[in-house]
Amino acid sequence: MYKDRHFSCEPCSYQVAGGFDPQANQVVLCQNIISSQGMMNRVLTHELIHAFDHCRGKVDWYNNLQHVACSEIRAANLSGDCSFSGELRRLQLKGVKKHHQTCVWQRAKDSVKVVRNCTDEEAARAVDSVWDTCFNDLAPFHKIPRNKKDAIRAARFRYDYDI
Amino acid sequence: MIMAASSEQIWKPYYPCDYYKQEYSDCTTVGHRFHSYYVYGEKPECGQWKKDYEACTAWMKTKSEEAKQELLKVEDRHLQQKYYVNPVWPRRVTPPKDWYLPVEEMRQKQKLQQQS
Repeated sequence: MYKDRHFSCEPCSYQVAGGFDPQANQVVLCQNIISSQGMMNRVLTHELIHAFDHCRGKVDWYNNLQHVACSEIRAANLSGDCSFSGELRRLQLKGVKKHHQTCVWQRAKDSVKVVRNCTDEEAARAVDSVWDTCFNDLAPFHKIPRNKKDAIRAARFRYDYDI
Repeated sequence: MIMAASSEQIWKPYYPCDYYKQEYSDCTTVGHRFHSYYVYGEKPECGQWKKDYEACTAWMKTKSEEAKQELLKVEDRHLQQKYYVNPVWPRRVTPPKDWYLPVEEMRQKQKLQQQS
């Protein structure tokens, strides 16, 4: 990926912090929403998971809710969107045990809803239908990274080098 | 200097032994244990990493055929994960054709396609 071709920094009108544009093959970063390095790292990782999926699979972003749900589950799971400290800070922690999965499910469903403009039930159904496969598809990592330091080594067994 | 003649001496492990050691080390930390509870609701299984590391060092030490076969089994397990294909979407064998096409050219192409 090239900085000046595959990334676009622009002001956004929605509440989202970024996106992946499969038509332009670009990761969009919202310059008016992203307010810290930590947030930038998270958003970048999240959108790069989408770009990665777009490159390795024929993802039907516009017509297949299950495809979108799968990529959203993976992006929420692997980007640190649902990290313990993040959830704590956002006062979203209702319990600790397996909360990560609750958070990933919720975020994936909300993302599908916003991106495909569908009903809550349709989004929930799509997420549920691909949950097992997609929550456990950790590519390009071999485990769910728990912080930046962990992430550097978390792709070792799949790519034979540190990120 | 003795030249390597047999194939056993040319074969090398796919992953350095240190990789298994570091995963085992990390697995037993408090941070990782908490993370495992937070994500999966249970304690992590660290024993396997230790066994993998031992299989690797056994080969490094003895270079025996038996040790090599054991290590191959270990590596095979990790490589299965590496070559796993997500069944939700059709697999690509090459990236999208227009991945590197400049944005303006792409938008023009799409406009023409929509008009036709």
